[in-house]
Amino acid sequence: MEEIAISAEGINKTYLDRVSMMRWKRRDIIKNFSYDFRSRVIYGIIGASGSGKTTLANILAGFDNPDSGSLLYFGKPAGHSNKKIRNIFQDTFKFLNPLNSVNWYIESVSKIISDRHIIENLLYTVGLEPERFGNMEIEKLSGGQRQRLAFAMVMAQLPDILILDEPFSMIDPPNSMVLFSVIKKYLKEGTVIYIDHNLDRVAYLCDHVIAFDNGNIIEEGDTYSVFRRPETDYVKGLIDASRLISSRINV
Amino acid sequence: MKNENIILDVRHLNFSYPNFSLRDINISVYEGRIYGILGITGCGKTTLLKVLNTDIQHWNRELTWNGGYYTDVLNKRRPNFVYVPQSAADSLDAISNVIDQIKEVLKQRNLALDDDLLNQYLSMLGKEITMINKKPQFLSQGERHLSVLLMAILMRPSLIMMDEPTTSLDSAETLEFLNIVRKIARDYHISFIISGTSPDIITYVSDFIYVMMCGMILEYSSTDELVHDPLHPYTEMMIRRRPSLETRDLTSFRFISECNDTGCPFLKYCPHASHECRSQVNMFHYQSRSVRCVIWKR
Repeated sequence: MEEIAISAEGINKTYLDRVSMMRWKRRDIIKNFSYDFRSRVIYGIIGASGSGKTTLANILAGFDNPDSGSLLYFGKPAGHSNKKIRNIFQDTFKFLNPLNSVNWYIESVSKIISDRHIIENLLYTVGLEPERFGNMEIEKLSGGQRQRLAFAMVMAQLPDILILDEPFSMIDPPNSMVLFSVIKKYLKEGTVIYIDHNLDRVAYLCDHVIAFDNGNIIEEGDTYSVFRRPETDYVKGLIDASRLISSRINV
Repeated sequence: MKNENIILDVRHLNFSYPNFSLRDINISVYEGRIYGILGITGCGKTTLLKVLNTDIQHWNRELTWNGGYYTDVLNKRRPNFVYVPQSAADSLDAISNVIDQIKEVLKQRNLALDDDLLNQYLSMLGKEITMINKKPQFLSQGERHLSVLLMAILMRPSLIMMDEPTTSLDSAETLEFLNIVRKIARDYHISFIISGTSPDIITYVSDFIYVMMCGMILEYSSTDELVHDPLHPYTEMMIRRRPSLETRDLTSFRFISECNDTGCPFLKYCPHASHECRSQVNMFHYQSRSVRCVIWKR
């Protein structure tokens, strides 16, 4: 059954840049963004750096408040919904305490999920065996290992909505394929919103692509149609650049 | 390649941390060429660049440096190369303009800012002087990376080593950056060593590629040979198992991270593994290429 997982209506967000001692300049990051994210779809949001992708992810995940507009999760405002909304962001130190051990996180997650084996299996799949890494503190893990731990913790809860903002920036392509495969296998029922500047990864994972520029959607559609026949010059420029970079490898 | 100048020659370099080691590294760098170091995360790319950075400065016996010297502010003779760490573009000072930071760095090398050279480089980058008169936080991510590159080439080095220089750039900015690197190497005969995990970026920019895993070089080939006919099964895996529109049907549930203490590091994941792979595998030379795999033993 397909339903609307996140309904965003007229979202605006403005930052103020300081130009001199007493003067501030308005910078509109998100301009009147409205969109219905459906369940059982993996959305990919693409766009040049500085196009507002990360701000949008922060707002959708509830980390940041929009200046105006409304957000409904399965028809209810945030805090009144019983659905699980989870996110993984690039900077894992934002939500992992560097002094806690991996075991501490395994225990915490096991308490809120029905089956402890899920988290253990996931940790094996992402190469963080509990026997080897359990006693390690978070600060001793590398950036990629922290991202994988965050990923396993979030995936074990089988979230209804998963918001990912460059979650695998420190993980190499062959291994990121493992994490994408896990998302595809475990979250068939959920909604995934995946943000990355690496177009190849978006093309691999996502069903539906939304191109973002200047604070709003400029193009969207099914992954194949957007990547094969982009309508706007902006998206075409990004896709052509990406294709040219991989031109020597795709022989 | 015989008539070209060799800038850096590394022979049988070893290095170890308590739980990680670089083993038997052999690298030759020729003038004006771009070398890629390709490998999964944790394979020792960053360690290798850091070790090269300190070892070249400390006249390590395993290295031969032919890239010329500069005298620093203390009148000490130092090898003329630049090492750009991974987050260099984010480490620019937010308080002062980019141009002041460039002057500051040049001062440590006893160099004054040459305006002609600066204009020449800026026109090559396709940027205006206004870019470097700004503070870094008012630049786009791509411009910050270009500022760091500009800073590096203004030091007039013969070798620039960059650790994953294009992370956090979008595809258009990445392409622009890589094209500029290629132009610098071609027009100014500056050599580059560039590390990365993405085979697309590394193959696009490099002339030659060293493929690394677990602190060892498993293959060395020219880019064209590597792409058309990868010798090591690990190289083949790196090239084929790459998320993209074309590989959507591929899935994988095997995370590659563990290293063996002895034998081939790729043993556990290799489709061609045999008992021979359990003991130490030597480098085999095949035409102008090298590979550390028993399949190529002759």
